[in-house]
Amino acid sequence: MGIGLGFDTGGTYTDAVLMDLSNGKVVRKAKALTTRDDLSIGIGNAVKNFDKSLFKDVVMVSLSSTLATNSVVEGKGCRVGLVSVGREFDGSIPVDAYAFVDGGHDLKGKEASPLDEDAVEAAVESFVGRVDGVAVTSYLSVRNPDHEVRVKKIVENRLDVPVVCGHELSSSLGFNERAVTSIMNARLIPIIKELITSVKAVMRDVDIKAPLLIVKGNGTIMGEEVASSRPIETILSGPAASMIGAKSLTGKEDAIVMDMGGTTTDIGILRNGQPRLEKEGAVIGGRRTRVLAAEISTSGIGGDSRIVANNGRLTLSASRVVPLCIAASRWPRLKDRLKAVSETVPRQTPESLGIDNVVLDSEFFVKVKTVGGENLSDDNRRFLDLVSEEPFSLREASAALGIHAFDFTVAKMEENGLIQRIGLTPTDLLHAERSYVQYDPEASSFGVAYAAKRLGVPPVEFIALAKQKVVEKLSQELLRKLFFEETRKLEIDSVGLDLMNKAISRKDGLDFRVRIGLNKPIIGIGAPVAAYFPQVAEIFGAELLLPEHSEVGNAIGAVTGSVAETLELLIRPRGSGSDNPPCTVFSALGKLDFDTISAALEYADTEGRAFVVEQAGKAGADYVDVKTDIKEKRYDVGGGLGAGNALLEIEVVLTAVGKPRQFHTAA
Amino acid sequence: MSKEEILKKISDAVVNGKPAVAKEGSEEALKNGVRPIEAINDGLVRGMAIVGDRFAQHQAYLPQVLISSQALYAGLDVLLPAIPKGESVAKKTVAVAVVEGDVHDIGKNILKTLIIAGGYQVIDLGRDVPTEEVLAATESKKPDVLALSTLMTPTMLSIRDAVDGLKESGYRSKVLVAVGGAPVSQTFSDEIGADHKDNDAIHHVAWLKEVL
Repeated sequence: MGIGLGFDTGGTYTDAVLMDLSNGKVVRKAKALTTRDDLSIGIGNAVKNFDKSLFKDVVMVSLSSTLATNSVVEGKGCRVGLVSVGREFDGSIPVDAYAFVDGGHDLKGKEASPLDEDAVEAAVESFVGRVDGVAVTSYLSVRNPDHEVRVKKIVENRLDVPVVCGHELSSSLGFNERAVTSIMNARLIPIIKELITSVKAVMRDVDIKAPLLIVKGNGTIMGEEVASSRPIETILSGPAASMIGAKSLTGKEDAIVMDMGGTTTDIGILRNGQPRLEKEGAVIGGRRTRVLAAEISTSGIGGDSRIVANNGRLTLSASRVVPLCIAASRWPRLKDRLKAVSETVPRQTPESLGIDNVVLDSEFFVKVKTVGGENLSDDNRRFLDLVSEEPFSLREASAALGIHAFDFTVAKMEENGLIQRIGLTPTDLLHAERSYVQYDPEASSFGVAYAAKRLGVPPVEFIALAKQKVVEKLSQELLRKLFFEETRKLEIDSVGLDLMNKAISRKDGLDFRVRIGLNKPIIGIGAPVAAYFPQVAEIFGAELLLPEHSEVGNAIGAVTGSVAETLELLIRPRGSGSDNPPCTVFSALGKLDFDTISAALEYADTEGRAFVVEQAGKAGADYVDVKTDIKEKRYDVGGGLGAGNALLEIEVVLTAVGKPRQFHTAA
Repeated sequence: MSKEEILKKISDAVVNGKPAVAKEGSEEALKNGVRPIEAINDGLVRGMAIVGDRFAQHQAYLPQVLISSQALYAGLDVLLPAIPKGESVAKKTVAVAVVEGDVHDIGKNILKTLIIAGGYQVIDLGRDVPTEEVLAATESKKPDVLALSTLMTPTMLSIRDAVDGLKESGYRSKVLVAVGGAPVSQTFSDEIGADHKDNDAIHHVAWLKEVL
């Protein structure tokens, strides 16, 4: 029996699943808290929950991880030098060393200016000791990669660091975007290598020898060697994995996949069994890259979203807090203090304060970081010391330290990641009504009791109101995504917003009513979905699939993903007239001229095919199958003489897809 | 002569295609303290708009438009240098060019004239403009619209190359691209990813009014 071991390290939880690869059945599943400082600890904790005897049958290990995404957003990674050929990089992300050299090609792939190799040598010399990786980007390298290839050789001869070229990561036009992608990629290499090493150490401890694969942002997977050279392709892999998991769990090829996690809800659309990719390239940390990742909308509504009842208003905030039930199981003394708070008469906080500055007595703070905070005031420093082991509410801290509550700037410290807030969340709602119990439900009940008192309603009603808020928010996010898919526009005007709200509330307007129906089912993924998604599906009259094991959907997607490698070739006729004119082929393999289009297509089918098959093999694929997608673009020629139809170009996309290679010990 | 009379003189000179009169009227405007911008907008441009309208309604022939544009330019030669620095209100700018490999620029010149008459600033890049030059000018002069045309079939691909170049340099999202010329079709415009296609200068100005 061949078993696949899949992991997903999410923002809050690390999921693990053991799946029988012969029949797609989930054998075991486990969950542990994600350990952000060293993901392998959380992975190890999740693995500990499994019966060790199963490990001997593990033939592959696959991991989906937010590490690359988080690292880019947080600006982590190694020192990178950029060699920019033929055009200055716009500096949209910082680099640790930079050199501009002459060179580059023109739009037809001809050398626009010879590569200044002396300048490259000098640049590389100046990089010595200042960089841990080098990115190379050249003007129009997608039309001819020759200068990037030559610079790479020069760098590799002098420096013993990874070198990343723009054309290796993207075949799309966009000099700065390719540069950004290469820089981010170079920065991530040591980070992903460290992850691979530490995960393999965890695997070794439990005697698993199978190879490790990593999920890419398009939902496919790649072997560790390829992952160490192209880590940028793992960005946004969590949501992509959840879509592949959803497909695997339901067998549906067309569906809306909603994955509600602790921190966020991700919404993506499966069409023909594939997540739709963002053609322009994924945007990460506010920068457009050329990474082809699944286009998935992420919104700040999750099991850990903060619920605030203040001045008769119930608010669902996008900020993340630790649910009371989880905090109480970790710090048991919290429960009695919560109970005491729930018995007090609540004071409302002034409306004028921003929601983050509203601090309730039922909210506690605990220190999370050991570094930073050098510029804190004495009062804040004493606060930080106090909450270093045990969480305290602002009122408790004020009493314990004899300092007025307003003298602490907790919201600021929270924003800077020094402290973490503990408070009422959607997860607590479910614990309080006992519909989903994983942690301490009594703590949740006390939290709800206090919040209900603040709102002036009975606890049961409070839970219903708050759950309704969550359902409304999820419905809004769903419609936003569907509208975006349709119109490619993110902003919704006031009329659109009104129609949207009427469709969700199902309240009539003066003379009309709005109903929106879906033409495909919703697949709900994630632990808390059963509590909210049925109502969401009902609003839109949609079929809802809540597959078993959906709470570990990402990890399942990691195991069931295919290994895929792609090569894009662009064939452009030189001149016009003939049916089979001379042409030029542009691809990562270089620029090549052919006498006829048929010769070029033949080249794609032989050399191109051989290349993707080899790449797929390197990425860890077995039983590789090559899919050829040929798109011929033609245009009309209008007016006068020579009116007719002409060939603009042919796009050939070769995709080699295989199953991950399995590891079997000699019996 | 009153201000109104001077402006009327300039405008009539353009309508009737009299470059010498347009120049004279413009000089008189400056001498009598008419603001250059006012003389351009209410004199030259107004006259050109009248010609453009007549052309659109088939009441004027193409040569008349071209002669009127000569009068327009004669007036502009006097008035443009006289605009005090800083006063030139931020007008929307359209760059026009006949692409690499093609020298047929009558259509481009008509378009240029009507765009000026429409109240926009024009950067004329000329004819047979190398693609790299189109790209460099777009980056350095930052027009709001780049209008590219050709009369010949083979050189249509130079338009495609220019659009590709804008994608590579990152300027595609910063400029609207309009394409035109006899052979240029809607399918061509769509496939290369242009924003607009026109084979008619009047319509093109109407489109500019819509998007700018």
